[in-house]
Amino acid sequence: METVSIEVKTVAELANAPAEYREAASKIVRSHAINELYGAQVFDEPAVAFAPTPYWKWLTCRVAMEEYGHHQRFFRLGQKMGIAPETMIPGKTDKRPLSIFEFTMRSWPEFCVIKLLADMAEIIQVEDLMECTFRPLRDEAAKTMPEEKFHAGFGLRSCTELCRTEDGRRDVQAAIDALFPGMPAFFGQPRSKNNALYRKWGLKQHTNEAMRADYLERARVLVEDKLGLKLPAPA
Amino acid sequence: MPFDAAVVAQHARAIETAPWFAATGLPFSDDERRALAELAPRIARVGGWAQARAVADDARANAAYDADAREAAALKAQAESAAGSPAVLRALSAVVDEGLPVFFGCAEAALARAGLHDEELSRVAAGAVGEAVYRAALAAATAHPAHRFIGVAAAYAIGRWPLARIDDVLYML
Ligand SMILES: [Fe+2]
Ligand SMILES: [Fe+2]
Repeated sequence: METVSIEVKTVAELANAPAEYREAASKIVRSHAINELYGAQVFDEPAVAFAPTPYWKWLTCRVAMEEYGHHQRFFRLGQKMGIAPETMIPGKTDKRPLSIFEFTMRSWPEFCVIKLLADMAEIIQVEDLMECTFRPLRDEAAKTMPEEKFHAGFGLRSCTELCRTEDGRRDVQAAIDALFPGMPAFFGQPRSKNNALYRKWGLKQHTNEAMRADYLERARVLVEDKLGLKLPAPA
Repeated sequence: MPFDAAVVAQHARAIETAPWFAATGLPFSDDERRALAELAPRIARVGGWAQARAVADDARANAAYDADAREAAALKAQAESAAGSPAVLRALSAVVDEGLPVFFGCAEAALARAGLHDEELSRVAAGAVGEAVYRAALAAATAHPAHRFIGVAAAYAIGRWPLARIDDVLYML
């Protein structure tokens, strides 16, 4: 597909961009606003109760607040862009959150694996926005990135800690087996029309297939090389 | 039981100016000792951040933590039955919004004064104070002015970190 050379420096400039560009940028902002909040609600907040000591409970509490803060960042950008607020809140919109949020989290090891593997997926998505032609979105991505990296690092550290015991290793492996097969779907369908539009306008740089392949390799390094566990096949 | 969103807003506004973690590592003053004595039969001072990490990571502190979590859930249920869940969520979000940059920055600065840089421990401290202020705002807004959550948040607000209650001892950095 042809790519169009464009750079939109401010939200005000967006008004002069083609309708297709505006619609595509709105879709990306809306999806990040929804998924950041939904993730905090279904994983991070409930995980405080699973955490083994106050230390880990407070760390989890902080991570939940940061995820909520990410939602706020995309939500505020969306508001400036004229996106209806209720379409950026899960439960108030018919746009469904991503399928990984349908995973039912039941334990602390499962939460640690979610941070390890789901936040890594988030990092790849956010990295792709770091070269986005819509500069306000690029700026929000850059602000979000250090925290997402910390979250994934927290996942690795907590999983490493758990893997020190035989029972912990078994729990982490079981959580990986339950969560991982659904993860690659996070990157959307191959040959996606939306993704083609995003790339046409330089809002995103990579195909869903390329991001998925990148993710599979990074997940393999984390699970097999760093933790010494086994990565199951994707669904 | 009522729910007063304006009281929550007051707590949120006060976040910016309090000296969070500023007194960590210092000996207790007489005033502090008197104020903190209300929180537990015995207060034990923790001298440094490494020891603070170990105390916060002690599973014997879970019983008191869990009791507080149950109490917070009960207060939230009261607030929601008075004002509805969206209004309570909206009001309390202000505490998170205000606290996000402030708490982490103050924790990092306190660690830096002790010659330390530790992103994880800064986040643990920021999470702890965030939770405490949230709960104090909830207790105050549901008309419990003498609630223990308000006393705990006051200990944070004078620059301390109440780390863990184990039996009748409250460990404090
Ligand atoms: Fe996030
Ligand atoms: Fe995250």
